[in-house]
Order: sequence, then C-alpha cells, then structure tokens
Amino acid sequence: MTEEFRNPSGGRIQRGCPISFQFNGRRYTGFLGDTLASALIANGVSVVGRSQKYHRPRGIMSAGLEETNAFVQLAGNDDEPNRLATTLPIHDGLVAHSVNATPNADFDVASLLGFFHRFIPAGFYYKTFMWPRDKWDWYGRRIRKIAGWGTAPAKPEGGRYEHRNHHCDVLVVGAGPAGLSAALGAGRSGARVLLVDSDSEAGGKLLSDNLTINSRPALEWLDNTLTELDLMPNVIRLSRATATGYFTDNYLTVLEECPDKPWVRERLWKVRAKRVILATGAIERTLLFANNDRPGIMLASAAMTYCLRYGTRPGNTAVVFTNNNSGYRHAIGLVKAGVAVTALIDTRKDADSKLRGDAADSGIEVIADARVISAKGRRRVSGVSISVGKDQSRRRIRCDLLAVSGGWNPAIHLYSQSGGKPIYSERIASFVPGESVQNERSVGACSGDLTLQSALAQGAEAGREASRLCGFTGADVATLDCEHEPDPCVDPVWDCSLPGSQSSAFIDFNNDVTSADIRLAMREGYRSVELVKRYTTAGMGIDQGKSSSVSIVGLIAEIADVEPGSVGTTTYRPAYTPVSFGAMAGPIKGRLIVPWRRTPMTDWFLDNGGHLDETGAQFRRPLFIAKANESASEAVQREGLAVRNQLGIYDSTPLGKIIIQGPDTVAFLNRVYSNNWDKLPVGRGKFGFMLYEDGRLLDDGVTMRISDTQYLMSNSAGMADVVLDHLERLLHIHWPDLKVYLTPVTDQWAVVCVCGPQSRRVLHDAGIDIDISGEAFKFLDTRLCTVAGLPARISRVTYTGELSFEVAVATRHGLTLWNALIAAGQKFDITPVGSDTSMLLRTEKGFIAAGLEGDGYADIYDVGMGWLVSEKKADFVGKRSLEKNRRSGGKRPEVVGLLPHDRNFVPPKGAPVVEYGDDQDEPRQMGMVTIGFYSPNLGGSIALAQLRDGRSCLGQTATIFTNAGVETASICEPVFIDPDGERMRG
Amino acid sequence: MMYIPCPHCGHRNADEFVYGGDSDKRRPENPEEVSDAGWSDYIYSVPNVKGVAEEYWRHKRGCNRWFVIQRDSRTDRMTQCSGN
Repeated sequence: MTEEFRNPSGGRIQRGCPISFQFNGRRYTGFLGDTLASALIANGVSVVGRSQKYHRPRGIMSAGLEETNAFVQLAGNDDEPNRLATTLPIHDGLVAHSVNATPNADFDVASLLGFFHRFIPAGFYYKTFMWPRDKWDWYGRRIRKIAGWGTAPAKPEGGRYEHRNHHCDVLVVGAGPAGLSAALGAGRSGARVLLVDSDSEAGGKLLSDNLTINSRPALEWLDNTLTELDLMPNVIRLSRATATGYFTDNYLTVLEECPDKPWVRERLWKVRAKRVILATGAIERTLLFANNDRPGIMLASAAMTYCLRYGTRPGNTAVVFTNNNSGYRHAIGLVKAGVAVTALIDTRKDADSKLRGDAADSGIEVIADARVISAKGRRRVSGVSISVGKDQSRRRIRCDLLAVSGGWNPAIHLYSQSGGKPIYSERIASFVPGESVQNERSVGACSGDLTLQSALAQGAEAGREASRLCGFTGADVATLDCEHEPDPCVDPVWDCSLPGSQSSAFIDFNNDVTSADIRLAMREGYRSVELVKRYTTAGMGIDQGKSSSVSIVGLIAEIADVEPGSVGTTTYRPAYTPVSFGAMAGPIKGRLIVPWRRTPMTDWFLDNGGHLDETGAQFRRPLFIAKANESASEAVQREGLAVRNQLGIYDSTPLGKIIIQGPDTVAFLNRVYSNNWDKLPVGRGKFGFMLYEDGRLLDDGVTMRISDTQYLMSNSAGMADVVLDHLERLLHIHWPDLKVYLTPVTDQWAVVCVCGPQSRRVLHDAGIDIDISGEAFKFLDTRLCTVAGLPARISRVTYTGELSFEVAVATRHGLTLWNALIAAGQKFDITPVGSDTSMLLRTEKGFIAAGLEGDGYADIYDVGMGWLVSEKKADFVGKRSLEKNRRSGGKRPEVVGLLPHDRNFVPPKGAPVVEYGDDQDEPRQMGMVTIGFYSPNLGGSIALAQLRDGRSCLGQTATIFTNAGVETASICEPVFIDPDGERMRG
Repeated sequence: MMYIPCPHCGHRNADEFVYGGDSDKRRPENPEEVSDAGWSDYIYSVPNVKGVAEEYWRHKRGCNRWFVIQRDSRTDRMTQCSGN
C-alpha cells in the first residue's frame, strides 16, 4: 500500500524509519513517530470501528486521549483490548483490529440495527425486558454479544509493572506552553519539580499549529526550553505519563507508559506534591447535526494535528464548520498544509473582519450565519447540507473532510477531582475552575484562557509563586511576545439538527447517545444532569464524557431554557484515562499478594509430603504429612492414632507469643482475663479466656509466669495480631496509668511439640538436663533447660489432651531441634502431624476453637467454660456485658457432643441440626454441627455442635440434615476420650 | 490519600494508620455502677458527629502508638491533638 494521504514533507515523524503493521488483516506502512491513527489516515483508511449500539461506521475523530471512536484490539504479544488508536505508537509487527465489528469494520452485519434505532430509545433497557423474569439470561447473552468492547486477553500478563513513590515541591501536569513555562519558573528557583505529560512529545498545541514566540517559530522556544529543563538536576520530566487521579492532600497518581523500555511496561507514580500546577489544556468539542458521526468528520484541531505533526492530509477537499474564532485559524492552517478548504461555515453573523479577510485571502468562502444540518455519505463523508441565514435557504457542498470546531472545554477533570467546584463561563461557553480547594492552581487553556500569550505568562507566574510558597526564591522568566490571537467569541449552539429529523445527531459517540435521546429523557421528566446522564448513558462510556459532558449540559440548558451554569456539571471522578489492572497491581501479584510466613520447619514439610495451607496469620502449615499413595483422610487417621498410642511431633511455632512485663502485670492480666491471676507462682502456667468488651469470646490460651516480673502469653495462631492490638489499645487508651509493656515474640522462638505416651521418653533420648517426671514437672509447669544441646524452655501444655511437651528454642535452632527429636523418636515410630490431625484430636477431647464454637455470638458459658469466670473480681473486660446478656435470658447456643447412630457417618461442618415439634412435618433448626470427624481412636464418628439450649438435651436424639439425606445422633457431653484428663496430667 | 499528622512521626499516609473510634468514649471506671442502658450506649452507640470530632488513631505501620486527633468529618481536615 502506498501512503496516498501522506504529504511529501513536513511533520515530526522520522521518514527514515518505515514501520510495517497490520490493521483489520491488511498490511500498511507508516513511520516512526506515527500513532496508529495518523498512519491509518496516511493510508486513507476512514472506517476504523463500529459504534456500540447501532454499529454505525466510525472514523477517527480526534488526535488525542479524548478519542471516542477509534478503539482497537491489539493481538499477538500486545494482546490488549480498547487501546486508543490516537495515542498508540506504531511499531514493527503491530497487529490491531477494530472492536465491536463482525466480521469487520467495513462490513458489519449488526449495522442493520442502525435501521431500527428509533426503537432503541433512551432508557430502552429500563422499559423493555421487564418480563418475563426468567428470560433475563437469554436477553443478557444476546445483548452482550452485540454490545461488546473488545476481548479480554486470554493469557496472563507477561509485562512488568512498577509502582513508584515520589515527593516533590511542584508537580506540573501538562507540558504544553503553560506547563513548560511553569516548570521553568519553578525549576530555575531550585524547587524539586516533576513535569508530566500524557503525550509522547512535550509541546502541546505548539506541535500542531504555526505559532510564533518573540517573532520566531514557537518550536525553537520549545527546543530551548526542553534543553534547559532536561539539564536541571532538580527537574524530572516524563512523557506518556498521564495524571489519572487527584486525591486528598495533593496526592496524585501518574500512569507512565514505557513503550521504549523493555524491562517495564507501565509505571504508576504515586506523587505527593507541596504545590500542584494544572496545565492540562482544553479539549475541542464537536457540534451536533444529523449524521455528525460519519467517518471523515473530525475536530478541526485534530485535522491540524494530522497535517502539521504527522505530515498527512486527513482529506483532500474540506469544509470547516465553526461557532468560534479558532475555526478560522485552523481553516487557514489546513490550506497551508495542502488541503483544499472550499467553505468555512460560521454559525455567527458577524465574525471578526480581519479573520474573514485572512480566510478569503486563502481562497476560503466564508458562509456566515449558517449551520451544517446534516452530513452525507455513509462510510466516508461526501458532502454537507447547510442552512443559511434567517430564511434558512439550503445548500449542499461536496467534501471528503468536515473539520468541526464547537468551542473548547478546559480539561478541568483533575481540578474537579481535587474537590473544586467548576463554574460556567459565558465567555467560552464552558466550565472553568472555580476556587482552589487544595494547594493547586490551574494555568493556561485549562483555566479558560485560551491564548498562547496568557498561557506563557500565567505559567511562568504560577511556577514562580509555587516555588516561593515552597520556600525558594523565584527566578525570573522573561516575558515573551506572541502574535495576537482573538478571543474565541463562542456562539453557544448545542444542536444544529432540524427538529423532527429522522437522522441522528450524536452527542456521545462512545455510547451512541443522540440529541433525540436527551430530548426524550427531558420529556419524560428528567431534569438533573446526573439523572439525564444515567438514564441515557450519555457521558458514561470509556471516554467518561471528555468530549460530550459540556455539550450534554448545554443541550439540557437549551431544552429547559435555563443557563448552563444553573444545570451544573457532573462530578469528574478518577481515573482521567483508563488505568490497566497491571499498573494498579504493580509488583503485588502472585505470591506477593499475601506473603506467606514461614517457620524453620516449612521446608522440611515441603520435602516430606506435607500438604501445606494457610491456617491463620498467613502461616503456611501442614494440614497433614502424607506418605506415598496415601489419601488426606488416611494420613489424618494414621497421625491421630500415632499421637494417642505412640508419639507425634508437631510444629507449634505459629502460635502467638507475647512477653508481658512491668510492675502492674498481674493487675493487667486480671483485667483482660475472666479468671483470677493473683497467685500464679514462677514456673507455672494457667489457662485463660479473654473476652471482648461486648462479652464475645476473643481468644483462649495458656499464660506462663516465666520470672518474677515476666509473663509469656500464648495465643491462637490466627488471633495473635488481634489480641496484641486489643491489649495495646487497652493499655494506651483506657489504662495509661498501668505500667505494663508488651513485646510480641512469635517469630523469635521456634516451638516443637512432642505429644503422646512416649513423649517423655523421646525427650530423655534426645538429651534433656532437667527432671521431667510426672512428680517433678507437672501439667502447666514451665522451665528453662537444655534439650539436644540447645538452650530451651520446656512447658507442659497440650492441645491434644495427651501427655505433651512444648520445647521452645531460638528460631535459628528450630530445625536442629526438630531433626534431633525426629532422630531420637525413630524407635517409637515418631509421626509428624499436621493441623487437620490436631483438629481431630481436640474434637475427641471437646476442646473448643475460636472461630468454630467461639463464633462471635457464643459467650464463655455457652462453650462450657463458665468455670473460668471469677466471681470475686469486680471487673474484667467483658464482665459487664456478660452479666447483662445473661440476665436477658433466652435459650443460648450451647456446645454439646454428637455421637451419630451410623458410626460411619461423619457430620459435615455447618450441617443443620433440627428438632421436631408437635407437628412432625415441621422441623425447626436448633443449631448446627461445628466440626465432625471419624475418630480412629474410637472407631466411629464424632462431632461437636452448637444447639439451642443444648445442655438440657443431653441424652436425646438429634436429627442432622445433609445434602445426602437425614441422619440421627445422640446428644452427649462434648468429650469423647479421657474425660478426667488423666492422660494429659499423667 | 490523606495525610495524618502523627504526634511522634509527623505527616504520614493514611494507610499506615488504624482508626480507633471516638475518644469521648472512655471506659467507665466502675462498670458495675453503670445502668444497662448506659452500658449499651458505651458499647454500641457511635456518635458519628458532623463536624469536629476527637478520635483515636494508631500509627500501626509506624511508631505503633495510639493518639488522639481532631478531625472534621465534613472535610477530613485533621488537627494534631495529643499523644501519650
């Protein structure tokens, strides 16, 4: 293909570097520096996509990130939906397709919908598909199929994304003339400046207009300014970096795309700036007339950009349609770039006479007091119908490019996100920033001042001011002279289509919303812009109303016959442009989303058949340690038998450990635990229950007195952080007078638990230097000692109900201890056990677990631990609520045991337990199973359950509902093995 | 993201902090002397002031201290109050 719409010279593309790419299955060439849009224009491709609802052919509308039509799907390595052709740089091997077109954009079968579009009015979905309810799925599938926007990538994202935190004195958003000038003013003073711009090249409108500064081409000033800024060590300048969000306290996110850097795809900057200067420019808007969406109709400024920046001709014969003075400048610019402009249609009666003269000198016929009422052509505009003067005489003009200038909308999105309230400006018929809410200032076109002269002056002044407010003495920036630009003098016309026209005048190209839709919504009673917007979906597409939002307000005002200012704007929300999920996640993906905590034994488990899973506090622990060809339940049964009959070994490291010390420690323990702590001797431990202030169970565990002044508290693994927070809060806020200090030491100690009848002997064989006989070392005793040559603390506590010892050593010795005990235990067939087995063993003993029986409603009496409530103590956390709740009476959910009549039926966790009243057909739920197991030690199934008034039902029969059917069980005391605790105390 | 002025560390990002409720809520000295209604109020009622409220915050991912701060719930403007 030849680039027949490429001019022989001109533009900022690198003609020495041709690039080959594919679009919709055909090969084209462009040059380095082209966007996909400019390369397609150079190749004469006019239809680039189909519209969302009616599948109308659409062409390139703009030259920037306000584009509403040219979305493409990237294939191959770039696999990504919904990229804007107007900001996408081409590279060799790029493969792009239109979105939303079957089979392709040139011929789309669904465009037949266009003929029916009168039947798809505003609020269509609210009015249709109300019934039948069960057909919704069917409708949904059909609609989604034709209303898609691209395809989600099938493969995982391969590129790398980074996050970067950045602090600076002055953040300048936008590197057009105002932003550059602000960066100079701030940079010269020495302030730390970050200058970001969404474009691939700095310069803003200087790149696409023939402007002069101090009587020299503006591009010279641009080059000099960029050179100076790039040499300043205190200035960082980013290209392809879009400020996407403006949050509280001058915190902004900047999304930087890095197509030139193979090691990073996108980088999300999180910027905290002392001062922000917004120089985000203005976005040109289109005008409404019938078929204003035809390919070949584009914004006048975009047409100029394609000519001057990319050396292309977006058409050969153009008509310019304007309601303001900037249209004249662009019409003359197009002529200079080799486009024949046959007519300039101005909605105003008396435009600036100098401008009219200049246009006439360029051979352009100026038609004043006229409007384009409709565009002709289908896949490319072929001409326009205009209505001239008061008598509305009609005329047709042929063209293949219609450049439209409907005025300029300052890009106030970031200002609005900062919390500011935009105000309507009659002068430019658009919204401008009102008062600053945060430490920011808008300069240049985004402040509503559209001339180059004021952009440069405001920018320099704002840069100086910002650096002065940050404590730097502002440096001088010379005043610059620019050629005179007249005020835009916008004629606020919002809809030029004829009343009752059968053709559509689109206001939101993204979502296919027409002026007729807005009128219909207003006829149906909607007045608020927020509601009209939601009802019609205008301004709610991917572009988030960048091109349409002001026109929607203007049209509503026109229809309601009020001032646009009184209609108000919708609130612009982050993000300004779409942000990829990759950039949001950054490096936090895969294993880094939830980093696993490890114990010294984690690798041993991985090497020895451990089935690891998260079991609280982000620790990965083995649920069981399977031998070859062993199933999960087989492993748990084998481990359970080993602990009761021989010897098990368990990694208790994840259990929480807190050192509590200070003169008031006993008083503190008395306040946080339900039982009494007055007389605990050194070297002894005690079991305690901790409650929330509202009486719910918080955690249980053993606290040891390890010296005169120090106590060591243990917590459930998953509750360790919660308990620490709870205790810290009490000390800091409620009892600052208590001299108590907490030190979490969970990670400082590795803890190995040996349990089972042989556990005393394995410690002897491994080598222990103290007497641990039943007489010398009782249940809940704790001592310092040496085990296997390692300094250790040994404690007699149990989570299984068996004779059991916990040995704690410094974390670095953990694996040595573990291996020593495994080696010494070989002759007892020592069996490593996991946490599923631990759950089985505690169920056999009826030990309750926070999160199962302690479920957030049960209190300490319900779980059978009422004996732990000290009646003597006047106060402890939770006591007052417990008393109050108990007094209110009612039947409580109480923990009981269940012995299923079918000894092989294992009640599933959460299964409802029901009772039958007098009416035998109506079962009533009395509670649920909290855990169930097949107990290898009992040779039958067991379960714990929470049942309403359960303690009074002991001996009765419970009915358990499961998916498979109904089962029965006897209700019993929640302990199945060794009810007197002889094993653990022995 | 909001800045929160920690009395010990200075201005830090809000995601380093944990909110701890309204600081008017002091735990009664003698809970058994409080009426049931008064106790329920202490446990469950949240004042939810529109305007300046005194609140507990904790610099959890920093100095780990609790402190009291004044926050205007309409604007999120915070003024430093006290640490302990």
